[in-house]
Amino acid sequence: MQKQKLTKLAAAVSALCLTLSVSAVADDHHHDHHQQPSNQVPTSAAEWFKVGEQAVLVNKRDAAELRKAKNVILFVGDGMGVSTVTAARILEGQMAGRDGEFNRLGFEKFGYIAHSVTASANQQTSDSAPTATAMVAGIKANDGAISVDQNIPRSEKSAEQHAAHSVKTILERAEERGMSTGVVTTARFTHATPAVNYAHIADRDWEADSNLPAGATVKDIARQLLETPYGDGLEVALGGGRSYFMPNTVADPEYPSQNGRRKDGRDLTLEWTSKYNNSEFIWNQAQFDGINPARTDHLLGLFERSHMRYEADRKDDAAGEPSLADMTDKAIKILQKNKKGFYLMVEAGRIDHAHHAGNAYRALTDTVALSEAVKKAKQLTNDKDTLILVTADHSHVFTIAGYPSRGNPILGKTAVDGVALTDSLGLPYTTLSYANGPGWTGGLQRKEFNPANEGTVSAPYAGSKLRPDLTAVDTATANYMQEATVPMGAETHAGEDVAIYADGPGAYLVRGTLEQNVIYHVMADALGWTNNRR
Amino acid sequence: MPKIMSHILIKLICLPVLTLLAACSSNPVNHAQTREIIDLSSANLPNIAAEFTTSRQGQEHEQDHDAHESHADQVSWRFWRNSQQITIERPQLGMGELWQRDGHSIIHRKLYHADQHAIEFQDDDLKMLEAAPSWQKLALLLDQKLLAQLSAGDLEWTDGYPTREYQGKVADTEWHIVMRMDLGVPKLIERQRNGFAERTQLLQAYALSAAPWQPTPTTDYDVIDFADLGDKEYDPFVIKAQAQMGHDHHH
Repeated sequence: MQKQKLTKLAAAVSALCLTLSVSAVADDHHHDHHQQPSNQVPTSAAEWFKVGEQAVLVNKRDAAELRKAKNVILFVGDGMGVSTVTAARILEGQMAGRDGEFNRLGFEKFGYIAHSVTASANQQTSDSAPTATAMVAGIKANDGAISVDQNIPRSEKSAEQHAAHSVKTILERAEERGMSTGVVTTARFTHATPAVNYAHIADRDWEADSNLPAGATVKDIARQLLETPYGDGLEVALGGGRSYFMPNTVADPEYPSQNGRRKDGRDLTLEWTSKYNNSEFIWNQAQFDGINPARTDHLLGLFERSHMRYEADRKDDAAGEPSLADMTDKAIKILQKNKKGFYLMVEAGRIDHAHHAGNAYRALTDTVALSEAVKKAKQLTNDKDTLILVTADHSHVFTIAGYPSRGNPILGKTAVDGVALTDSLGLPYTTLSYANGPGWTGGLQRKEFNPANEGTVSAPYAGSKLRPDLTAVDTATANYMQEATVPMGAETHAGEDVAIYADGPGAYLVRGTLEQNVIYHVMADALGWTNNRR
Repeated sequence: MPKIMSHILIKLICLPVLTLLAACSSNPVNHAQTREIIDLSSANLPNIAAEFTTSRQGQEHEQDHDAHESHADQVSWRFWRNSQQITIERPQLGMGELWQRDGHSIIHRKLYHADQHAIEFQDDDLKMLEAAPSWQKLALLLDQKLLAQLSAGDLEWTDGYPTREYQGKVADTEWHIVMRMDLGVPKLIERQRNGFAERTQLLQAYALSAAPWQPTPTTDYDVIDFADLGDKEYDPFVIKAQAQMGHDHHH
């Protein structure tokens, strides 16, 4: 009897607590559509329980249902697999003096998430061309393919064949509808991920006319940007890759010792400003800062001959380069002038490059830069009319291993309460490493470049064990190359799913495990192209 | 494919070596006690072209069991230097390298003449590979920090050329270097360590404008960014180039 009373009392108290809790959440929701979990790290079981409970309640908010998106922004972290997001989240928190594990990147606070299956039409583990094509064209394609279908060979040189196999992209459809469009990237503007928006070509490497094989009639990627037949062309094009737009007889403005790459004599940067009204071509920070979005309708900014600098090195650029967040800010302010709405892709293109080089520091700091760009986009837009998606084209073979204590430096050696753990050889090891790549240490079999005969020569590190002794090595420095298990000249992509984070109208469609090409269809649906939305 | 750069400098070029050549004395940039003695730290080293030979004997590392790779190489190579550009070619290997100074940046290309390809390294790539050299190190073919750790002899005149000899042991390696003090290039670099010996010797030197050979034109080469190698795993040239680069992991 006594027990029954107690049970009833407990149930009543629980119900009251739940009611108060729901009420509190509802109130918060009323005042702040973006209510987020507290940044305060729980310190007790009760607090952990409460935080978990609140997270469920937040997720019980109504979805953005059938509201129509006016604008769509697609953020792509090139090579930003889930382990990269996790490590970047921890690094960002630790660099800010917070609990890294409890930290969240800007897009991790979005309410909707799904897995994205990245296998392409002919690859289990894909490259950036077909994966980006999937996202913007709604189909799966083959390796190297830039917005062409899977029935055209990579070696195809005919313009007619390309026309027959091209697949219209979301950017092109947006242009057809009178929307404004833009692409922002830290890679070359002609690199695979940005290129899929405006170009159609079977080989991603055909970036300038000098890259085309003999006899090719298909236009190179840079030229296709200027000659897009859709709408009034892109309003914003910001990134690197200046040399692909300039003739090989003209000196680069930032590096006068270097010339452009084009053999056809065309200076596409000049053509940009002559083709469009109220247009600008810029290539340095001062010019970027001088751009007034209200008076600029077509902006081409190419800030490096090739890829832009890594975020970690951007401060060292003599001419200055805007950050990804700065470029996102400028792009949105230009695109927002169109009452019909806009489509914008923003790519953090160099996460991938740093991983290929086995350098976690630059991969993670570029991921944090992407997070900052997403935050900027959130500030400048309204989640009632703007769908924001954040995803990756593919992953990398990047792992977070061992059993380090919470709070252990993510770039450091695996340790428990500050005491380094050791492997079976008795050697310390880092928490971050790669399954393959240039960081292979190889023990007695390691070889290094021998300039005397342009071959390799055996060059084991000092010591007699199969791994280097990291005891005295600072693995948190920017240039440290994490170890890799399998020796390869460059670390490779990985084939596991990546995440899609979504916020705004149509975001509720992002759930479950989706094929990567579904991303296009989510965007098209949110824009009301495939159904009737309010 | 790490660290190839540092080897290009520290080994090939910066390879300790010694000896100088008889041929040296017959080169066109010759004669006269009137030659200017240059400061090796000068930003204005003479514009020159030179030819060297590098030979190796023995095993550099105890565990170096691959005789084919480790023994008795002898490679001749050429060197062109002005204030903004340094070019090195190893004709018998069909390889070369180009270093250009542009403002605050150093741009490096590894040249594959037989393939008509080049791999270009940006500043950030070189930093990541811990292979970002100082211009002076590239220009002298030696690190001045190394010279500072060796015992320097008096200025001497050999066959009409001013030279200075440096000797000593640094990190288990015995060095013997003879610098041409009128040109700012090594006449001889010898390096010995645990039965391994490497010798680089100046064969000929010319004023750049009088060089009898010129660098191979590379304007039509297909230039690939180092950063793009990871996305070109299907490219036969990239596969070959990466195999040559080895696996140098500095810890």
